Amino acid sequence: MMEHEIMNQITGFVFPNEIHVHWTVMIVMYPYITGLVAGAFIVSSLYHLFGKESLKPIARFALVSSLVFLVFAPMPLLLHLGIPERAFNIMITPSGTSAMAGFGIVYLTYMIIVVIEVWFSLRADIVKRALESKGVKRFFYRALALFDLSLDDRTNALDHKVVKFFAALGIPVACFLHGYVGFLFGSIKANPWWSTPLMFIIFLLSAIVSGIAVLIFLFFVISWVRRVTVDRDVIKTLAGFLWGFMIIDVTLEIMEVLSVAYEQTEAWQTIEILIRDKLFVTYVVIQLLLCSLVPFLFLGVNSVLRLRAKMSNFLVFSSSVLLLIQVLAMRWNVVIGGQLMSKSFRGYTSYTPGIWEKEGLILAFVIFTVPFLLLRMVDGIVPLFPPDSALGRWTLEHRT
Amino acid sequence: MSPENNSDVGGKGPRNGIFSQAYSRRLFFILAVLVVAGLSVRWALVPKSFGEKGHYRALAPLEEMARKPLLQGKKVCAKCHADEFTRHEKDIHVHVQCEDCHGDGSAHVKAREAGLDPEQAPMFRELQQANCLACHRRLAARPKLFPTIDVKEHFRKVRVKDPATRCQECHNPHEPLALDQRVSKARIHPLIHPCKDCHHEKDIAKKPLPEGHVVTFTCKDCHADIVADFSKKPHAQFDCRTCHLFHKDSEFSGRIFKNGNPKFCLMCHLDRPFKDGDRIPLLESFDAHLDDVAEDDGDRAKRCVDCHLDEMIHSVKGGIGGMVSTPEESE
Repeated sequence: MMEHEIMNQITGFVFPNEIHVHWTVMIVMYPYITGLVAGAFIVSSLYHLFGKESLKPIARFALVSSLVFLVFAPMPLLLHLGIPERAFNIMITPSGTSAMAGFGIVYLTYMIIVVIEVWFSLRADIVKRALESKGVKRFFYRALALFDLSLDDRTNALDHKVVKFFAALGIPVACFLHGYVGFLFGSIKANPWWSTPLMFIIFLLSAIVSGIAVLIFLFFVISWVRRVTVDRDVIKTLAGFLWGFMIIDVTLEIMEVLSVAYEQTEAWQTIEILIRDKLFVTYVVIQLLLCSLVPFLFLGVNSVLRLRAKMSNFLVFSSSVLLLIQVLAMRWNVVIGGQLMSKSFRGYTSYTPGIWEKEGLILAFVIFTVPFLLLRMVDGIVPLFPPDSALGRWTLEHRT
Repeated sequence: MSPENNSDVGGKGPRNGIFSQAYSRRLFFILAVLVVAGLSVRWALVPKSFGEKGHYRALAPLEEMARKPLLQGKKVCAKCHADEFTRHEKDIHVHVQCEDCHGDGSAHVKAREAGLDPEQAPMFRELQQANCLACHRRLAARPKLFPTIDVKEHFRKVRVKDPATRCQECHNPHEPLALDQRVSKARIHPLIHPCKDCHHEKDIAKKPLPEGHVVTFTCKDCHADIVADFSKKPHAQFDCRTCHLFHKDSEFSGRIFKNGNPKFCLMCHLDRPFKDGDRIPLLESFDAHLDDVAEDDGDRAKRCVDCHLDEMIHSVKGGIGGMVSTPEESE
C-alpha cells in the first residue's frame, strides 16, 4: 500500500510502527484452525476416554478431523512470514524462554500423539480393506497396516487400549496447544485488549465451541449429501455440549470486557472507542448479538423443549454455523482489534484485508477449505464412520 | 517378544502389552527411527558456534562486523559533487545524508573508482511528493517545530493549481529554503510556544489565557509593532516563522533566520505552469525583473526585500525595545 493511502486510515496519535497492521487475516486463521484441532480432539475423547457412547458414530471422524486441521494449522503462519524457512529454526534450536518455540514442541508432541491414536483407531478397517482388495491397492493397504494384517479380539483390545491411553495423554496436550495460542496474546502486556490471564481460558473454551460446531456442521452436511437420516443421538449430545461450552465461553468473553470497563483504568478509554467504533460490527453485532445470543436461544430452546426432529435439526445446524462465525469473529476481534489501537492510547489505525495478496482472503479461504477436502479423501481410503452407524452403512453400500 | 518389552498400559496383563503385536512394534520402531533421524538432522543443521556464548550463533556478530557498509557517507559524494555539497551544507537539510534520498551509493562509487562511467550505476533522482512527505507530511506524532505540511492546505496557500506538483519544482532539495547563511551562524533566539502547539481549537490564540495557565510568549509579545504592521500587509496570512524560519537547537532555544535570498521569495513568485497567476504576482525570472526595473548597477545588486519589504511585508523594523539588527545579521 502506498504511504499516502495508509495515512488516510489513521486517526489521532499513532506511532509509526503501528500504522500498518502486521498480523493480518492469516494470524486470524491460525488460532481459528488450531481451535478446531483442539475442539475436535476433545469431542473424540468424550467417546474414546470418557465412554460417551452416543458419540461413537462421530468419534473417529472427530479424531481424524483434528489431525487434518492440525496439519494445516501452521500453514497461515508460514504464509504470513516473509522468510518462512526460518520458522524451522525454532524447532531446531528452541529457546527455553520463547513462547513461540514452546509452540513447536507442543505442536510436535501433539502431532505424534494424534498420528498414533488415528492409526490405531483406523487399523482394523485398514486391515479389512487390505484383506478385501487386490493388486496395487492391496499393497497400499498392507503398507498402511505396516504389513501385519492380524485382526482378532486381542488386537482389537490392544488397539482400544492404545487409543484410550493416547486420548488421555492428548487432552492436556490439546489444551496446552490451544491454551498457548491464547497465552501468546494474553502475555503481551503492552496491549490492554490482549493482556489478561483469562485470554488462554477464553481461547480454549472458544476452541472447544468451534470444534463441536464444526463437527455438527460436517455431520449434518455429510448426512444431507449422502441422503442419510441425521443421527439424532449424536446431534442431541453434541448440541448439549455445544450449549454448555458456549455459555461458559461467551460469559467469560463478556465478563473479561466488563471487568476492564468496571476498573475504568486509562486503557478503558481507548478500548471503549475500539468497541464502540472500530469493532462495532464485528464485535457487538456479529460476535455478541447475532452469533452468541441467537445460538444461545436456539440451543436453549432445543435443549429445554421437546421439538420435532426437523425443527431441532434446523436450530442446531443454524447454531453451529453461527457459532463457527462467532469464533472466527472473536479471533478477528482479538487479533486485528488489538492492533487497531495505538499504544499511545490516543489513536487508531484501520485494516482491510486484500483479496488476492499473499495474506489475502482467497488464500485464507483456501487454507480453511483444504482440510475439508483432505478429510473427504481420507474417508475414501478408510471409512471414518463406524459400520454400525447410518453414515457407516452408507459407506459400505456405496463402495466402488 | 521378551517379557521385558511388555508395557502394562491399561494393565491387562503381559500377554496383551503394547508391544505384543508385530504392527505395534513396527509403528513404534518407525517413530523411533523418525526421532533419531530428526535428532541427526538437528545435529547436522545446528551451526557449530551455536550456543558458545548464548542462544545464538557466536560467529554471527563477527560476520556482520566484517561486512562492508553499503552507505558511503556524504564526504565521499562531495569528492565529485562539490557544488551540490556546498549548497547542501549551508542549508537546512545539512543533517540529511545524500544517500537518505538518493539511495546507497556503493555501486555508483565502485564504478567511479574502477574508472568506469558512474552513470552505469545511476543514483535515484526522481523524487516524488511521497519521498519528501516521508519526513514532511503533517502528522500528530511529529514534533511541532519540525516543518510539516498538509499538501492540500500548502498548495492552496501558495496558489499551486496542480495537486501532483512535485516539491522540488519550488524547493531545491539541496537548498530547500535557499538560506543565505549557515544554520549555525543564524541568530540565537529563545524557544517560543504558540498556543496551537498544544491546542487544536480554532483561533485559540485570540482567547484570553485561563487563570493559572503558564505564561506563554508569541512573536507579538516582544515584537508588537512589527506584528501589528505585518498584519496589515498582503503577506499577513502567513506565520512569522514561514519566512523567519526557526530551527530548534535545544529545549530552550534555537536559531532564527532573516533570509533575504531572492531564491526564497521566488519559491512562490516565480512563474511556473502549475501556479495560479491570477492570485499571486509571478515573475518570469529574477533577471528579467531586474532588466525591467533596474536603473543602475546598484539596483541590480538589490534583493527582493530591499525594495518590497516596506510595502508587502512589514515596514516597521528592529527587535525588542528598539534593538536593531546588526548589519552582519541582516546579510
